[in-house]
Amino acid sequence: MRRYPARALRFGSTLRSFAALAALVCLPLAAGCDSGKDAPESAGVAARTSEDAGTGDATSPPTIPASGAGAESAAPKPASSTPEASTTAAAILPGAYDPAKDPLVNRRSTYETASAAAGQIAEDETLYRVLDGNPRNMNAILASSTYEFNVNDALYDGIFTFDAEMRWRLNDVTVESFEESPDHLTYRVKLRSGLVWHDGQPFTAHDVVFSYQSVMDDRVKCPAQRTGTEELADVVAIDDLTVEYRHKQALPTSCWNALFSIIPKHIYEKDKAQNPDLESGEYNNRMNRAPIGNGPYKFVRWVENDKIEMVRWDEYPGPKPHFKRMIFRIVPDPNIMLLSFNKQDVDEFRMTSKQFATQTGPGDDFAKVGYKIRAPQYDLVYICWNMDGSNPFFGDVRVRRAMTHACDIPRMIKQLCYDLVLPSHGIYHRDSWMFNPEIKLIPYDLAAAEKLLDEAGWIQDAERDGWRHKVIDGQPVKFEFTLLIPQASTTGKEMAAIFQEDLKSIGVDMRTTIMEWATFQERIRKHEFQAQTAAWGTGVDPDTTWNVWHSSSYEKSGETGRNYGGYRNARVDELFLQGRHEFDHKKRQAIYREIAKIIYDEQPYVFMWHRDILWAVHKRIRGVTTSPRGVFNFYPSFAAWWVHMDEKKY
Amino acid sequence: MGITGLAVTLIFISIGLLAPALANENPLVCKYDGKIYAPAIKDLLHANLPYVGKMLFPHSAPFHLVTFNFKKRMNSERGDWVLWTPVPHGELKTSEHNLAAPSRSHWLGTDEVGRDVLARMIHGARVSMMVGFISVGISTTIGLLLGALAGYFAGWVDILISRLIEVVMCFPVFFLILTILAIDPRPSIWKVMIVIGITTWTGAARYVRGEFIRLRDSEYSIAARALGARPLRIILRHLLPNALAPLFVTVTFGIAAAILLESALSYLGVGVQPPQPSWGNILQSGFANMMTATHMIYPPAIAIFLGVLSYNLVGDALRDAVDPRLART
Repeated sequence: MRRYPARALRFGSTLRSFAALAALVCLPLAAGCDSGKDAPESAGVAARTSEDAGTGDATSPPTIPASGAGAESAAPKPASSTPEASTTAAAILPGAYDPAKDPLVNRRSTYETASAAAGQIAEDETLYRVLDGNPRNMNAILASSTYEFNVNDALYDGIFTFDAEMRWRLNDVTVESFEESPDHLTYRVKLRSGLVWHDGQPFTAHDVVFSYQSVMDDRVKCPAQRTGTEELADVVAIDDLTVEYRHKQALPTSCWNALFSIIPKHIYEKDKAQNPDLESGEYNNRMNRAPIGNGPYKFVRWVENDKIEMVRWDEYPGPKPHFKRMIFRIVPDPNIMLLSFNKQDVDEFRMTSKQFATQTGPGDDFAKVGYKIRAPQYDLVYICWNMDGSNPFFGDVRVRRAMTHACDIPRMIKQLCYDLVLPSHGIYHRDSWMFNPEIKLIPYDLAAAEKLLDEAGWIQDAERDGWRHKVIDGQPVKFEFTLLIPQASTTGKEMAAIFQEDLKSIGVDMRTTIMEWATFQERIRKHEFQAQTAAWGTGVDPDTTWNVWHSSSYEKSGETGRNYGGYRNARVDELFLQGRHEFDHKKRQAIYREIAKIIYDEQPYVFMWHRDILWAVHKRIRGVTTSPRGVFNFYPSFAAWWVHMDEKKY
Repeated sequence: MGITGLAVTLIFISIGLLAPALANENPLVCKYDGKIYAPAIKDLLHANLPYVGKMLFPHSAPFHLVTFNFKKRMNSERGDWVLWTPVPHGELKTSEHNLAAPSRSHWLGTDEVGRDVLARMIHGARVSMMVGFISVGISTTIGLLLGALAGYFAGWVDILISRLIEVVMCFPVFFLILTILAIDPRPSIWKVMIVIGITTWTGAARYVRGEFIRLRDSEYSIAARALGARPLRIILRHLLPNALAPLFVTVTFGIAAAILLESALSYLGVGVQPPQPSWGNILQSGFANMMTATHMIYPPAIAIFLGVLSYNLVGDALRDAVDPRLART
């Protein structure tokens, strides 16, 4: 029997309820070069990975700033040490902006850990954070959008979590010991005794079991939580403080299935008979809007569409966070976020690349109040082709490669994203351990595109109108297709305008249709599209990409499958299966690298770019860490943020 | 005021109609490889009179090829010459200079992907005018028909149609259109026009109904009936011409409202599908860049303001002109 003692951690391990969304899938986002305002994530967030994610890969050293809790942080790119080289041009044209020369980017102080400054930390500060939407409620298991996770992260603590490098870990605020059976099928967790909820009621194994049962209850609408949780066979309370997780299969990734959020049984069982969805009814509604949690912060007040206030919980058993109060301001518009930030109404927000490059230079108001954070993020912006045979174009790999040749990604990166994104080398990010260094980018080359289209039988007929045609069943078919763009996409329209013009110059007619997010998702789930553009967030394990690339995920589309374009490759299917059952890291790495190479060669997508994390934080804030998934929603994130006594503001 | 409004209206209408010849990436007239071509004029004819355009310019190779780029192929040593359109940029033509401030080559600057804002404004005027006229055409036709039936036949026909009018009036038109377009798998500008048309006919219908109730018992209508004329003949020949004049007032106000509605819808991203320009979506991209590229906000905002104002002024003037009480004083 392997036995893991709960590790002593510097900041205490708060289970981020976000992590509890053990969804097996990547998170769909609207495309663009900015993460912008994400539409609500209907299918949750992938939180599965292998334990050794993101470390020690010699070929692609990770550039994530802090390497785990307590490690000495350094700015990820020492570029900030050359402030004298900064440009002071008032209006910086795209392409003229060089983040390496921006003195406000990745300042060392932003990443400075609290451990170095014991005794000099202001412990009664207030942190003003931004939510880009008003949450539906604050029930941890009903959360489905980023802003709901952000709030719940501070209010609830669970059993397992993961860190900035997406390594699965125990939350030793709640866990005393952990045992995994030799066959990897059962996890036995012993909880610490004396744990309580914010209202003083005891936190026990029965809360965990109640939460598991609620997540699995069909009447409770929590698809984001259920996706991973349903891979568990059962969760059982052995006694008040011992809980056993039983897996259906022994897999290296099964630890991610136990990350569901924990809600208080004594609160939610009261009205369960009348309103089993935990949502309707006066009582549930009241409890969901004034939640009782067990996390480092206690709920104080919610002013609808304005702000949510919480205060540090004095009886929190783990190491307490440094900010006494945390106030979420609800600001839906990025322009207003920047203005509020400049007025010091908020202390952090996610920036658009335009703001990052052109509105926050040394001469702007921003420079007086804030610093900027830029770090790699493992998401992927793409154009997906429908290859299921419903159109005569994209089943042919030559056509797909021609499309990539015709897509002027370097220009889009320069003109639309201000060089703040990383050109994509396929399904895995360059800094991740699955990345295959053998992949060579397909260049922008219209002549090569024309040659491939000619080979594929799409001929430009000079006698007609110049559009490419192919004779199919005796009828000439015009190369004309429609690209679906979600409305939330920040740069989708502009990207399409550039692509469209290039395609027109080689005789391909691309139309565009903008769609509201829910309609867009419904259409792509039913495979009713020819091409679509969006983005994937990253899961914590490459097994999460099974949902996007395994051929079985085509039929399951809409439930767990996300293979919208109908990609099929027997070798890829086989490799994914191997990867799922392989416990040896080196072998897994070889497997996923091969998958990455095969998929890039077949170009089922135009792999466009990976968006960087672009964040603004107030100058006084220190202790920030970033993960490949962002600034929040991992352990410890905001709980490690702090302010030096001399720089106190509130 | 009415005359000024009419003048501005006519200017906007002509800009809309002439858009392909005012802003085009192809030349107005040019000589290429020994032959004379007029691709922008061809585009103009094609846009306004599709069949005539095809008859006059069946095949003008190589300009019929979508991939032909005259700017690259022009060779003055061979004797090629060119007369560009007043704004020598296509509304979809992108360039390396994005978000550039107004300059001699781009009078109103460029947008995010380097498209000329003036060219987009001109083509946007076409869209706005088209939306105004077509949607009001639809709504007026429906309104006229139902209003005439209700007013002429009275009784239960009137009750039925009046209740229908009341029901349709209760719809929050803007949100109805938003909903329809949001769930529509293939949104297009034509659907916007149709939806605006079939939801805004109530004003016209009530107007016509009122007029018909007044005219139904007039002497000439009774005389026509006494002579044995059929209802259809009475409606079309005798009543309609007399009820039509005041209707123009609702038409002009309707056009103004439709232009505003289309701008709002495009601003929200559900109207005109990009990359096609409309005043609304130019304003939207201006708003997205309001901190850095203010030059994109003013042109569409002013154009929408002027367009809507001038139609309203014309409507006002028309109302004054047809109002007998005002005429007498």
